[in-house]
Amino acid sequence: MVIQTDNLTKQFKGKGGFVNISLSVKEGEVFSLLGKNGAGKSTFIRTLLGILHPDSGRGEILGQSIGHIQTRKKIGYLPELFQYHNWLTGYELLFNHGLLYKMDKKEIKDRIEEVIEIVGLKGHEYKKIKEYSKGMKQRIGLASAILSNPKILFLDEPTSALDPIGRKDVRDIILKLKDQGKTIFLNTHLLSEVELVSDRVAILDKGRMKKIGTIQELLHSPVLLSIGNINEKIINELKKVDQNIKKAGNQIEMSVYDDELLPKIAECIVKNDGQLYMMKKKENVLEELFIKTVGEEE
Amino acid sequence: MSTIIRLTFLEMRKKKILYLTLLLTAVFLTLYGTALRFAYKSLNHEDTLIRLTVSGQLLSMGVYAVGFITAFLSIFSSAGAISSEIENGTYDAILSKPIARYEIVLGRFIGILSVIIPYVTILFLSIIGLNIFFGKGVVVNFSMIAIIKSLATFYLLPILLISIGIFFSCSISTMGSGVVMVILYFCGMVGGILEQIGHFITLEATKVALTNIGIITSLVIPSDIIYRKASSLLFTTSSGLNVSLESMLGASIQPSPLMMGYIVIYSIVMIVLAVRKFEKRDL
Ligand SMILES: Nc1ncnc2c1ncn2[C@@H]1O[C@H](COP(=O)(O)OP(=O)(O)OP(=O)(O)O)[C@@H](O)[C@H]1O
Ligand SMILES: [Mg+2]
Repeated sequence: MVIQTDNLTKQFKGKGGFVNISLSVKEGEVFSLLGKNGAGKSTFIRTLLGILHPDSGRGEILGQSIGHIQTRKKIGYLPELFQYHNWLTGYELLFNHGLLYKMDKKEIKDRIEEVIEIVGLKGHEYKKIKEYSKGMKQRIGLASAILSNPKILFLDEPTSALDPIGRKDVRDIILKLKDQGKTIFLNTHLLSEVELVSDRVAILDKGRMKKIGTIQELLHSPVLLSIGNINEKIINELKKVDQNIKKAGNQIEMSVYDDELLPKIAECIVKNDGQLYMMKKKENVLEELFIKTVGEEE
Repeated sequence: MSTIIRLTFLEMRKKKILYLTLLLTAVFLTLYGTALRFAYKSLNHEDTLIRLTVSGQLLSMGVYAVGFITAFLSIFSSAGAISSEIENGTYDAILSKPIARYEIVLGRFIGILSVIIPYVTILFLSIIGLNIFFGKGVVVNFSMIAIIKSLATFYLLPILLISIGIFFSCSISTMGSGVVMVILYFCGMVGGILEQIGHFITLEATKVALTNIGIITSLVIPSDIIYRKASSLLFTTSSGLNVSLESMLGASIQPSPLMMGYIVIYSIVMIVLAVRKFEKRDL
């Protein structure tokens, strides 16, 4: 496991933060942490990086407990507020960050050329960061995050300041990094982003983990069926796929983990004298799931 | 750590703090030199005792300025050394890289010192140099040893104040640590004055009380002691300037070498405490 936490807890004087989070992220996976404002997403990443000290529980990155300094050589991080020494130029910033990574000067120079190109800041690298636009700051932050060619990337809402094209660029960057076998830990509340790039998702609400699973498990599961002449036999067969099917009249909502099961379900309904009027996957599932999970106010 | 030192230096340069300080120092030295020139010129005809007293005053004032400017430069550059970065949120990007927190604190300390120490050297030597230059025939020669010893003692001032400043910077806000430092510095000064006054008072009880207050203040914030030691080293009998020792700003009692050792240990303890504070802290 590249990232592993075990009942990790961090609160601020007993409030906020996150509580008892256990999760693990495999190598090469894009893992998204989803949650509304104040859910504890940033606190979680900042705790994993040793910027905050956990109250209890354990956390490991690349087999080393969190806070291990040498491990950070292999970590890139884009903070959500991307605050940098703004009296430096973009180039100087990256250069100094390269030095912090203990890269050698030649390597830093070559790499800066590359990452400036990747994040689309060519032509702006000699401007002071003070003079950057918000989106440019986020881009230079991303450049700094990938500068050392890290194994793991923590991206805290990496597209929050970007225009639609910038968002697509970043999605492409993420997918490209994933192809290179990097592990990516993503904080976001942009559901479209999650659906497009993530392998697995966890939903955080008020500091607690509400759901975790692969995107297929969470997204492709709900199937709506409308069945005429519905009978016990059909119900029993369907329960073999999903224990907790929901029945309302002749409407059935159930989870199907594997799309390959769909034709078999249809076949089984027909065989048992049912009439299949409709079978469809629910749309905007993630949004619905998200709102259902974290939306209700107490 | 070297990157933090580098960044500290870059910051002072980029934010024009360095140029501004040097420029204003040049203005100050020009004014001081002008004052010296005319003062010494008019002294040519006076008798030796008056000449010595006045030139002692002039030099005292210069040395006092070195202490004052150094102190404030140290306070202002260290008060925000850590806290301003926390306030600006820049540590997210720095601390996620392979660097230990103690390296950040030490890097800041060394970075600021490596700017201020050369500055103090230049300022101090300029003051002495101007006095020697304009006071030809008026001021008796300083011994080289006295100058070096005095300068070396002066180095303790930024070391002490920056270590305390960084400690507060690790603990409270930039504004807070700035205010605390300035007040502490003045307390040290008043404590020093009280101790001096104690020496001239004949009433035994009051004398003891004042001296004790002075000593306790010096233990809490030994900045004034450094200035007094540095000037007393300069105004040794061999320089012929000991007459001036009784001048208001001068030092009438010689702080002991033990006290200098205390200051060094004090500074080390402050830095250790600063590191511990910073390591425990959520950023
Ligand atoms: N330094 C801090 N001191 C006190 N409370 C804090 C601190 N940082 C975060 N919190 C609290 O912890 C909770 C989680 O905050 P966090 O920043 O992790 O949320 P988030 O999920 O990242 O939200 P967003 O989507 O707005 O970025 C919030 O209730 C916040 O008020
Ligand atoms: Mg956040």
